[in-house]
Amino acid sequence: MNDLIIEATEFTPEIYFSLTQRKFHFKGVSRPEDVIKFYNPAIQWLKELEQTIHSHVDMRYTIPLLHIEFRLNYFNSASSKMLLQILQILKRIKEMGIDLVIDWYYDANDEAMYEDGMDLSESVDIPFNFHSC
Amino acid sequence: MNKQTLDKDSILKYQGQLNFEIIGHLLNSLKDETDARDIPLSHYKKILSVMIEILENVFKYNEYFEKSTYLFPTYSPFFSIEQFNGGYLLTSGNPILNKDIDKLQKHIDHINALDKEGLRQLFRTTLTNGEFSSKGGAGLGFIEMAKISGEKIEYLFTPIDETYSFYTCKVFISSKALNSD
Repeated sequence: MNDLIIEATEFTPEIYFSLTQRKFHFKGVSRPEDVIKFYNPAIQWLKELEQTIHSHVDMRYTIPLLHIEFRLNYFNSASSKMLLQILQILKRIKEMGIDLVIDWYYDANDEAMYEDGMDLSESVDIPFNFHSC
Repeated sequence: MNKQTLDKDSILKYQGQLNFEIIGHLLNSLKDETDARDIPLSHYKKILSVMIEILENVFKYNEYFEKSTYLFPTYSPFFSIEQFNGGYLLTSGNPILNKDIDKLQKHIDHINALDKEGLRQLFRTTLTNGEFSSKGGAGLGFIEMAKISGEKIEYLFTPIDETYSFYTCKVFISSKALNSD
């Protein structure tokens, strides 16, 4: 699969999914005019990854771990619904035997961003590592 | 009528059409104003979160009143942020269809009846199960605002005619909420 790289704009985050580097991240702000349209390529890419892993059982040995970083300055409530969908696909990938490390970065002045991460982590039932910066 | 003015206790005031780009300009203005006034970053972050949700609520509802041009400029959407009593008062206003008032009022009343833990639970339930469209998040915005504010969301519906009323929404970020971190 090719890497998925979506560049940041004033209102949308950078999305970087690299299977070769086993690193995924979301960076910036998220207030897309149409959240479903914006996040659709990322969701489709992850669904394709899920299918690929499903049909290639050896992938859990070649890709034992995926590292996902969330470095968001702010996101609107509509985006949180899309982030949950993304995490639900990642959870299914985890259930196929691929470990996930999810790092959630938040500004030390921004307690709400920490709580948003907690809400997502508990909603999807995957632990996050929290880092204030 | 599009105008953005500054008053003594006012951080930001706007009345006119609200679209995606104008919301962007207003968010940039908030950053400039909070920098100029040395408002702490933690306050700015809370104001910003509430501002995005309150403005997006107006923006999402645009399609139900924007074609009724007779409403403007008297009932044009407006938005303001004021420093008030140690906190920040964010106010939005827009025309609302009379038939939608009941549903909205019930939604806000439901949120206002919850404590902090109740709001977190409702947020998570709505996040997981809430109906969702390309524009919005199933009422998540109001829950998010209530979580940050620490106060009840105030609303007012002033009748305009048989089709519309003017809906005013006030969210106060109290000094208690600002110092909770």
